[in-house]
Amino acid sequence: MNENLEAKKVWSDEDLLDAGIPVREIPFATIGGGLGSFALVDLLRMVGVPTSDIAIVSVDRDPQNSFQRLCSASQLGADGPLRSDSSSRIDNFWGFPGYALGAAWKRKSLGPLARVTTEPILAEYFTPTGSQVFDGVKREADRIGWAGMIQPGKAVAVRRRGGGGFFVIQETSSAPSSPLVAWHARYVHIAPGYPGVNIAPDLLDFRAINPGDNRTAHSYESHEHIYDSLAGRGGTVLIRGSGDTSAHLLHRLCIERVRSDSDIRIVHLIRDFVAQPTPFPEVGRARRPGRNGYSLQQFVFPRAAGGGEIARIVSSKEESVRSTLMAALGAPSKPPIRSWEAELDRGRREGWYAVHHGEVDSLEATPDGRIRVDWHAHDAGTPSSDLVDFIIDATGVVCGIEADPLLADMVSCGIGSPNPIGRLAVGPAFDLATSEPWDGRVYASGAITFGGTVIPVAVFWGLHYAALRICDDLARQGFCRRFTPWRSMLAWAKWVGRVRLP
Amino acid sequence: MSYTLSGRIQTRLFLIATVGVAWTALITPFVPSSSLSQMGMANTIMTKFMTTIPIGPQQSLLFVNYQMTFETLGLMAGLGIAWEIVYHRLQGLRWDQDWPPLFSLVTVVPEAVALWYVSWVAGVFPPGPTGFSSPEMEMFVIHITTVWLVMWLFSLGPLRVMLPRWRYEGGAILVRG
Repeated sequence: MNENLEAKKVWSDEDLLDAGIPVREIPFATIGGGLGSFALVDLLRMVGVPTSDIAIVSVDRDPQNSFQRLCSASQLGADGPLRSDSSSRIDNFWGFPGYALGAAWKRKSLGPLARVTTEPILAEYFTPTGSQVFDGVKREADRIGWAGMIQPGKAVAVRRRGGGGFFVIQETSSAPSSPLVAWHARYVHIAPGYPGVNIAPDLLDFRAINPGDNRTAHSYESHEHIYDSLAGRGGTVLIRGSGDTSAHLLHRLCIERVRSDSDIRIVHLIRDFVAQPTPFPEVGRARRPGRNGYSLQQFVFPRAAGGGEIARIVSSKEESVRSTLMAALGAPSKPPIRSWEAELDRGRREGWYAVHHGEVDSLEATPDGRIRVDWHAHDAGTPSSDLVDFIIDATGVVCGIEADPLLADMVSCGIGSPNPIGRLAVGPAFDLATSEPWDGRVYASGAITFGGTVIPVAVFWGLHYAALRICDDLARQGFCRRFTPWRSMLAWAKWVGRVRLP
Repeated sequence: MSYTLSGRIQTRLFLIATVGVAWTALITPFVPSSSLSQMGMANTIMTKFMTTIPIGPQQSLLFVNYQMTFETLGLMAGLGIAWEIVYHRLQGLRWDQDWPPLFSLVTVVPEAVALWYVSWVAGVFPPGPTGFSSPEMEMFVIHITTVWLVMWLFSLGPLRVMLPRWRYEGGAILVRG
């Protein structure tokens, strides 16, 4: 993009003509092409929007690609239990038949159904696996004609168009300075997911001093070699973080320990250590279970945060109280899986697993090929140090307008504004406010919209909920038909019959 | 499912008014009829359909049975509002503040017991013994357990298809927007 163009907040058709960027017309464009885009496009197709009216701007060919990458990097793989339930089914808007029914059918067993109807009282939650999700999404994408809507290439800018609507500027290949194309769309949706991983400053320092050293990894970076080495020769690994991903890492290490019979030792540092149940008087009398560092919660948020009583209570609070409460409800936690608890209890008993409430001060490579971790205990502040062979950081992902150049550019050009936690402020229809009234609309869904009135925005439930609100709003604007009970039943019948949508 | 109080009450009333009514209309001729046994007649469906002769002013035996089952169903709706308030309180003791499907199923036990006695007091059944020996017991048990099961199964699937916003709005049937 040339500088003249970049400097203008609103573009005309002539501006793009002068810049040599061809303009294509499309009524609706979605940027991202992951599960956020998928949930919305699926619904739009079900209310009758033709494929010729939708452009999916994405670097991935298939909607499950980025989710699949996250699963594989975080040790979930294709068979690990997802933090989701049977009816949070991203490829089926109604959650019926749920994943449990599908699994029962496939295995010719009533087990999954018995589990899903007695969870979580008599049985642990039925949780779908990654491969169930990937397969379902693939089948549904095929049914709705995903391949015919995909426009491969990265979106680099979204600007308002003089005279109404928006321009989405896209690279047409992954090569550097590849030709650009502009989509003129009246409605734009953006579901960027997580733009990056959160790497601790001390780890960044260590990497800067020891370039090419592959003994440290973020949980979302490829780190299979660490397990290989530990399984071969044993060793000590430092795990940081107290979220779901850290629990998966620990489980993987326990498996490797048993499988290889090597002396694998684990030092686990948790900054926000949870030793006992946490009270939440603002939302009710129950306390969130917690022990040994972890908050225990089946899903990323308590269940009633999605449309239930907790959602009602939280949305009635003032903005400042609400954001603190939402952050606390979604603080790192792991699902209470008995077998995982038992593994770690054994590790504590046998002395190969130690968990501390502490924070790293510095990391240093020692001459004998190990890493010295200097840390201090949180309560007493007493300094300690450990010698480890590897470090895996599971302290999370970053998400915010500033971390994503496309979003930062959008906001600086008058599309959307930051909410108190630096993500996108959205209206009730997940719509972004423009700096002045504009013909057309931009919507957002997924993690980037966290901090508003809807709590679990970045999970399957939230992607569906956003899709529904956006679809309703688009229907009000006359872009598509409303998802009425009748259309819902009809669409469901087609889903069950695996009828391809025209 | 995670319900709000209003969502719970709406869901209950909606389920009773739709599948509850439909199932009751369908099953009443097939449940053992107390009125027939009292008259010493064979308790078969054929007899019931054939005995459409008015036994009182504009009343047939089938009419009497329908009256009993529908009145019980109506009471289940009415009392249900009080039950839902109780369930809502109990739900608040759970960290997830949700209501697992198993709870929705087993609550039929306390509800049916209460409903049985309230039905007696309200005069839904003809005067007589209220215990297990009551001639209405069999009809009541079959009607209530099946209607409950049908409503429960309906809420686990078909309801979500019919009302796609239901599960996103805490069980509310009437959703704005």
